[in-house]
Amino acid sequence: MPRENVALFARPSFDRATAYSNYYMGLAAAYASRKMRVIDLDKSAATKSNIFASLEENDPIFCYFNGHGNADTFSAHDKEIVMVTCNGDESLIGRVLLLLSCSCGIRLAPSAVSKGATAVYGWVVDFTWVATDDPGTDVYAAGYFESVNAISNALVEGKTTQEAMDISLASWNQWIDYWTRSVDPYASQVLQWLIHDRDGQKLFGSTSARVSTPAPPTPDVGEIPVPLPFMTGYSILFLSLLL
Amino acid sequence: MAFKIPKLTSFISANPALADVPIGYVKGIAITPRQALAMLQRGEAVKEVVAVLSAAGMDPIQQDWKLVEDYYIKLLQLPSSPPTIYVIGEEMTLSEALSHIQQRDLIGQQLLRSYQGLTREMARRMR
Repeated sequence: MPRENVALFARPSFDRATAYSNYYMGLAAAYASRKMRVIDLDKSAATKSNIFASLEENDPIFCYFNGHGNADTFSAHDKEIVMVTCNGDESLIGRVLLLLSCSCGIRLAPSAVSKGATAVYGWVVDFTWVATDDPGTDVYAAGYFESVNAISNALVEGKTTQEAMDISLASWNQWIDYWTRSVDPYASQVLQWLIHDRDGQKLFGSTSARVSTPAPPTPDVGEIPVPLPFMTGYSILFLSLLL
Repeated sequence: MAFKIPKLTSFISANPALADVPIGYVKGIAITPRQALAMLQRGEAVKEVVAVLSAAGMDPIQQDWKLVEDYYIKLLQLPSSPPTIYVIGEEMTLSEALSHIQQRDLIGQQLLRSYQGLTREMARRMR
């Protein structure tokens, strides 16, 4: 049984494209580490052997992996193949997986669920974005990766898999609304791929799974719970006025 | 027809990013929502323009191939430096994208599908 509150991140970086996903997954890993024990396989550490060793040793309930992929294959650093449909995906039994990789939602993700993965987020399209600057400063790229990280962040906060999916879709929609209002000459190009990635994002498997314990709700300002004795006292006073 | 002008005006003002994306053809020329509005205001080819607006996002595939090609040609004519299109593990310039569209290869087909998603979103916002 995978361990609750343990997360495994695998975020290779071997070219311009993976530099973006690596950067944004770093933000998600830092966020997750506030509430969970995080094993972060960064850049060249994101190899097949390290991933499988960590699954074995740490038994994480949540995995967030990035890498090149297609309908049947997921790869990690330097495009080293980690999983193919019906081979390797059985290692995900009982886990929730966020697979930021092209087209793995077509066959690999459903296959992993059929082998016992609790839930898998994947894309039935090639995950695509546009950018001009470095990952940390690029204005175009932020919306894509923040919307994906919304899944991870929500799961860390104890949301269910479906709630995390809904929060992510709301993020995609907010970014789409933001860019439709933009007068940037390439805004339509940003939008084209935001819509493409949003519509291609799928959740397979359980919609009610959690990877961490939800925090007890904190009361908003003005909603501080009134202690029961006061309530009882007011009720008695009110009743006495009626009698 | 008169109701189309205020509707289109408010669409352009609420969605400036989508105002210059080609959505259909009038007399063989690709037109954008901004051009459609100008034509309606001039009373030019009104019937055809209204037909284009009504069919936006539902065009036959052959027309979509032409539209996506025109769209990328327009993007390449913009004066500022263009963004790069990234797919995990790969990258592509806008002119490479145009070339895939012109060849109608596998990547060109993905570009077409994603452009169709954009025009469907435009149609949804125009209605």
